[in-house]
Amino acid sequence: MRYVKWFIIAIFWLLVAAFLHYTLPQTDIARITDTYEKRVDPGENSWFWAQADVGTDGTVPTRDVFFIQTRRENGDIMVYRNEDTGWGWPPYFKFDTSNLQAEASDMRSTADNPRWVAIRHYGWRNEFLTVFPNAVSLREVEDPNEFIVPWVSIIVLVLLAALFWAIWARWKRFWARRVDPALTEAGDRVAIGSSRLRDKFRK
Amino acid sequence: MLAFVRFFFIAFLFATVLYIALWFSFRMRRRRLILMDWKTDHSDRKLKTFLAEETARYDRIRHLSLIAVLYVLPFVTVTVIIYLTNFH
Repeated sequence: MRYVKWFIIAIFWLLVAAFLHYTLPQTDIARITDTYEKRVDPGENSWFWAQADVGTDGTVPTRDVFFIQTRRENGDIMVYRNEDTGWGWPPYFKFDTSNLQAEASDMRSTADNPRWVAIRHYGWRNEFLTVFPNAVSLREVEDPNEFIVPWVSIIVLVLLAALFWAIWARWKRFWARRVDPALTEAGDRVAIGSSRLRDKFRK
Repeated sequence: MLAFVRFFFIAFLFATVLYIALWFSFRMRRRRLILMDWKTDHSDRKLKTFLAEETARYDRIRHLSLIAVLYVLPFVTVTVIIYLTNFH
């Protein structure tokens, strides 16, 4: 039974970690090789696509999505989608998709004469589900190996840990003060009742 | 436009539920503290008036700080995120 308990706890924390890893911003430094626009029909993978641009008709099943193709210094390829998150989840409140695409197109460069761009994004790339990370903002950098401190993630994780700790401490206190005494009392009563019952039948 | 209205409506509702819950729970704790304070330092004053005065004072402070933390702070945060994401 103990293994089942730990298994469930491990699954829970794994899901929390995966959720945070998907949602929190990350920054890659890469060279933009091309930008394009493709029609997308989200199906099984629709969880990993945002909605239609804010203000446009969101009920139509298919739409065009902007993409940004990049190559990192070590040769790895990464393709980003560029979609509005709008007023929905995750709360990046991104409405400037078309402007971002214009910036990305302007920052294109070749391997011979590279321009390095720090691409802030959230999400995962998964080839099996056709899932792409969503680019949130772009900024030109000098050095492709520049270390970028993930301030937003640090702040969000610290706040979440504080919130979790606050709830956990209160929960523990509540359990110790209210539930445990009640359970002990109930147990005592059951014991008294059963001994009384036993006495009755003994006679 | 509808998404925008829905977002603010849900956020407002959420903040209001939190406001009510925290207002009552903090008030309960504060009443206990005031009572302890009266026992140790102010037992020369009438308990009823002391309790009423102190509760009213802390009600005002609690109201203002909860408004700041639950309504103003999230609104400012969202505004800053919108600015940084789209116009920075």
